Amino acid sequence: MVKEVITAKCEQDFIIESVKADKRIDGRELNESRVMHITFGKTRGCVLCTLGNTRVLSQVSCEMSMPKAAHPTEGSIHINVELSPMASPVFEAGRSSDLGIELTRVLEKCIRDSHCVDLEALCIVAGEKVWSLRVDVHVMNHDGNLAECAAISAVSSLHHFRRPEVTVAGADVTVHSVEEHDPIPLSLHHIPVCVTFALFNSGQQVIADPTEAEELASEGRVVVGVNAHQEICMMHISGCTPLQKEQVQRFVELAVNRAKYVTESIKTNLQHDEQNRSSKNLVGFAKDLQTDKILAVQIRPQRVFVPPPQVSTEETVSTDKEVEMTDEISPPEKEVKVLLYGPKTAGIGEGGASQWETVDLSIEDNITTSVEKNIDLSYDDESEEEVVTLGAEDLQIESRESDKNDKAKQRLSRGWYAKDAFFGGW
Amino acid sequence: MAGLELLSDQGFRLDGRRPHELRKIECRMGVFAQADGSAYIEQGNTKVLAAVYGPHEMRGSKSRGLHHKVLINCQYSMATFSTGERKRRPRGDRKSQEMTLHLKQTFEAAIMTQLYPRSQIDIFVEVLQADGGNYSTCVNAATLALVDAGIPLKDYVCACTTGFVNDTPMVDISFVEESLGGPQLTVAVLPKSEQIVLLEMASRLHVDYLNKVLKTAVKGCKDVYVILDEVVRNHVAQIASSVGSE
Repeated sequence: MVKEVITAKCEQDFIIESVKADKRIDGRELNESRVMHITFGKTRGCVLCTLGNTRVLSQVSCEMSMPKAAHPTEGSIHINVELSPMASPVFEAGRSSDLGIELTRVLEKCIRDSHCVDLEALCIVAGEKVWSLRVDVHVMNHDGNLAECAAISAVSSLHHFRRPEVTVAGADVTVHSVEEHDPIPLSLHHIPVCVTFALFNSGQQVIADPTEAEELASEGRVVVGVNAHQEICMMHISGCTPLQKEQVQRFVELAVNRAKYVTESIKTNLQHDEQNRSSKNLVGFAKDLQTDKILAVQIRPQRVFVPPPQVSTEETVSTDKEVEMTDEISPPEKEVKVLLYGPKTAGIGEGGASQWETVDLSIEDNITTSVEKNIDLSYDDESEEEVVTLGAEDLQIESRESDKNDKAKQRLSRGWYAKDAFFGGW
Repeated sequence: MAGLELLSDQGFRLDGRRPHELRKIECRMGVFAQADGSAYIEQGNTKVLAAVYGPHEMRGSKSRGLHHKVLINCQYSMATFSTGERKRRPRGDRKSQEMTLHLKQTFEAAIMTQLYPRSQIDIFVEVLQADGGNYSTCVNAATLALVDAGIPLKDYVCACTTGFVNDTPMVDISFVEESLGGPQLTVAVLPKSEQIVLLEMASRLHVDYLNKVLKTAVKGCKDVYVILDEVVRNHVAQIASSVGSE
């Protein structure tokens, strides 16, 4: 029996009410999508696409097979969607759920039925041998809008994929290895992209790129597959809210705009990866691993022990008593620098250097860029502002004076992924 | 395109219809004694049987029941002899599962589900002969069966599949028209309010044409509605006269 994600009624009501007030729980505009990242793996045809917290990995592979009798000169393309149980508590291993079927069909319609891949170009010997492609789409994390994320991932992996070169001499078919012949890209006609909308307020309001919570609270969902030539490749509208024709038009317009942006972004990412491969730069997921930042940026009021400061700018504070951040003190968010990363994107603090295992690597940074903290000592009547500069020693890193030899050794010891992961390409 | 011309210069389709013309629809209600509601419909050569059971107590595990609305259980199956090549599995393949899902979504939007909490309605449809527009025919059949079962609906649900050839939308396409490629738009509509409960599109269609095709499809659905409504009225009149009232 399939479990279902249970959300509290009040949580759903909150989402619905906020959408009515043109607001969303994560602070986005109604028609704003989450940040999209496309990362290419080291092997050809391997793509990880993230859309906010939704993550989908897809891998294209090919093999030679017999063509179907009805289409002797056409290769085939098979799409397999895997909803891994690690992606969501709802997913069960080895069971095709309704969501799985829906997602598979959406991708099939979007990619296969829209004739995105030139199947005749996959023919080796008519009626005998053709290439059959297989796109494995693995959902790694489910936070809504799987269709869009999976479609982007699948399409970019098809673009990224290279199949081996073959030569046909009479009845002999030779498949050349990668060393012998450069593998060749697939011939693709267009880049179809799926765009998802969730419906609220009896279809009067639509939000783009819904998260899982929003999907559950919504009245219905619309998936539109569009390409950059403004052609609709697939469309699926369902849910408990009937719609008017004019509303359908509106979704399509919104989807067309989004598709333009997504296709551009897929293209630039592919170009970028191509450049990296040709210039022997880092490729694969390894380069995207961040080792110098921790991910959490939240700061909670807490008791901190401030040791007697050794460096100060204006006035030395010579107290070694415990400073308590109580309710009287203004919340710490105010003291932390707000960083603007781009339009409508900001973060509070940078999270500081990671103290996990690779801490030795970032010692140098800690010494040079010491963490600055303003502590409002408001128990004073005059409520002065003191600038306390915390050196690296305050972060209790003992081995800060490591010599260069030592550091070099540590660099070498960082081998927890394959060394040659840095130098990819064929 | 296999030497076939889907639309002749004179504006006729392969089977001699005009682009906006539906196939002949024939239907009967109350074809099964056991079921609470049943119907048989023929749209051209596409023949579908539908049976509705319920609303009844939850079958199987009671925990599947929903506390605020009725659970709709659908099953779409195609008889093994319904297609040109004998089908191996009447149901359970991916397309049938998708159809099942779409039927469920359609009727969840049309049935007044809030009236029967913790209960279940079963809708079984069986395609006896598949000649294009399977989904739409199934929706129409299921609507008649639901009406026969006396389940409160917001409105009839009428569905229609529309193709698009030579800048002309063609209503209620047959298997040949379907298989020769080209865009297909399937809509299920509540005809009185013209509200769309399900819209499904495959293959490529330029955005500019969407409105034209959609309009034709909705018109097709309203034409279907006229026919279904007449059948329902005749059927009810017949029953009324057989039980002796006026």
